[in-house]
Amino acid sequence: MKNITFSIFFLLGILMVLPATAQETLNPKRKQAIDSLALEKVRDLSKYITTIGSKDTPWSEANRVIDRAEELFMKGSEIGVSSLLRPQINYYGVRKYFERLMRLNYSKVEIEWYKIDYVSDLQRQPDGTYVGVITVFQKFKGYNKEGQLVYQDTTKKDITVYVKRKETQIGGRMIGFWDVLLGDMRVKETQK
Amino acid sequence: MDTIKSYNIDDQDVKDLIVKVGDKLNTEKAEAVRKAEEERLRKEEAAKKQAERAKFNIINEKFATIAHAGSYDEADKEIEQVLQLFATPDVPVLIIIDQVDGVNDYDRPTTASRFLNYLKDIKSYHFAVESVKRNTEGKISELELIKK
Repeated sequence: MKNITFSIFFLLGILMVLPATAQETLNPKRKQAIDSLALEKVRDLSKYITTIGSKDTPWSEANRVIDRAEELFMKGSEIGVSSLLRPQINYYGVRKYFERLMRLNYSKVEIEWYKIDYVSDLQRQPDGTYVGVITVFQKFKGYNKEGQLVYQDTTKKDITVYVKRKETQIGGRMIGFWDVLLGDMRVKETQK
Repeated sequence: MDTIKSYNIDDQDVKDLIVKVGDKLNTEKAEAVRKAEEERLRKEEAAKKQAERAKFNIINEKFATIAHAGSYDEADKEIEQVLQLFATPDVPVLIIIDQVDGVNDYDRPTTASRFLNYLKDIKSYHFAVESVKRNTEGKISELELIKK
C-alpha cells in the first residue's frame, strides 16, 4: 500500500510540474526565428565593418556607422586583431577597434565576411539568456596608393551572442522583444 | 486521474492532491478552449491584414528605394523625403520577427530615423509594412514591419 501511495504521489507530482517545465523550452519555430535574428545581427556587423573599413566611406558616415555597430555589442566586449606579420593577437574594446579600422594605413581596404554560421547553438542559461557562438571567416585586403595589394589574410573568428527576452512600453502597451547583443569576438586562426 | 480515483484511497493527502490536480486540469482545458478561440480570431485578423497590406505598397517602395540608392547623398535625400511621412523622426518602428499563437515576437524597437539609416547601411529591404498608425494630421505615428 505504501508503495502504491508513493507512486501516486510521484505521478501527481509530475502532473503538477510538467506544464511549468514545458514553458522553459522554446517552440521550435520561435527558436528558429531567434537563431535567424542573431545571425542577422552578425551579418549587419559584417556590413558595418566593410563600410567603416572602406576608404570610400565619408568620415561622417563612418562615424555614424561606428555608433550603430557599437550598439550591437554588450558593454565591455573585446575584438581580437591578428596579423600574419606578428604572432600575438591583440584585443581592443569595440569602439577602439572600429576607430583603428577606420584609420588603417592603406589607400584602399576590402573586407568581406563569409561562412557566417553557428558553431555552438543558442543554449538557455539559468537567468533566461540564450548564449551561442557564431563563427565567421573574414577576408582582408589592403592596397597601397599605386593600387597594389600589399597585405591580405583570412581570419576565422568566433563571436559570442547573447539573446534575452525583454519588454518595453510603446504607445501605452507592453511590447515583448528579443534583444540580441554580441559579446567578445575571438580570433581562432589566421592564414594567408 | 480516473484510474487513480478508482483506487478509492482513503488518505486525506491523496484526496487533497486529486482535487488540486483536477482543478489544474480543468483550468488547462479552459485555457486550451480560450487559445483555440484566440487562434481562430487571429487567423481572421491575419486575412484582414493581408488585404490591408496592399495599401502599404507605396511605403514599401520608398523604403526599398533608400536601400538601393546608388550613393550616400542619394540615400540621404530619399531619407529626408520619407521622414516627411512620419510625425517625428523618433516615431517607434517595430519589427516582427515571428508570430506564435497570435503573439508577435519583435526585434529590439527602433525609430523611423534609425530604421531608414539602417536601410541605407545594409543596402537591403527585406521587410513588409504590417500596420501603420497615423496621427490626426495623417502622419505616421507608429510603424510595424514584418520580416520577409
